[in-house]
Amino acid sequence: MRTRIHLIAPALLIGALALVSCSKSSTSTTAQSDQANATAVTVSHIDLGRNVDGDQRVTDQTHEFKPNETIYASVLTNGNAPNTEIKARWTYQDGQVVDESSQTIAPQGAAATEFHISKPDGWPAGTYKVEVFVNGSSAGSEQFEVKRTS
Amino acid sequence: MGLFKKNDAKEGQRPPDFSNVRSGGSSSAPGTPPGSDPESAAPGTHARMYTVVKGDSLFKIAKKEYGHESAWHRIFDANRDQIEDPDLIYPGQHLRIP
Repeated sequence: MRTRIHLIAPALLIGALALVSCSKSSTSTTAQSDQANATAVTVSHIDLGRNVDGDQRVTDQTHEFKPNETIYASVLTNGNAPNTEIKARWTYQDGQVVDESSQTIAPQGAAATEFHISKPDGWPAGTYKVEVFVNGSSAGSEQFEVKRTS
Repeated sequence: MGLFKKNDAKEGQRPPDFSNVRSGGSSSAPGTPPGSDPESAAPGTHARMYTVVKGDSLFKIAKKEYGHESAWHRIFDANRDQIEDPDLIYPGQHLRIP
């Protein structure tokens, strides 16, 4: 009798501990999986060009534009996040902000987000820059030129 | 007579006007912006820019952009980071027009 009690008590204790650890681990596994799914969205590349395809990727890449052209910037990102703000700020060589707009994206892996600008009376010649921000933090920029047609 | 018109010298000194720039965008992974109701959309989500010139006021800019002066507070609210006093704006300031 004494022997059985001696064996049962530890067994019960071990079993109880196992149940607690399982429940803890299942909770932590769920929490960890949620965290694992959300990874920081990073910008891998910014492409400039005269047009984009159906996947929001630039076609006809260039860094030189004519005054009457629409300018496209395709921002390629990696990462998973339910809500990420991508902002593009376009500036002229004298520091003027030409345009600023943002989009909310929910990428799961590689994604492409395009921004474009146009000016009915034509772009002034000069050097421009487009800077991209992810959730308010600068994530890269690209310069380009507008040149008058000869 | 010179080769250039009188105004050209003044025109050359003025910074370019980007107030009529049009913009847009799309994504392969669109999300739902928080507060998708346009009334609650954060200023600057899709804003045009206006460069202040001499003689401008928020009243005048609102009249030009919205057709009525009473909309001046929309411009003020969208540019709180650079306008402390709505009666004080300066040539060269770049204001967001929501």
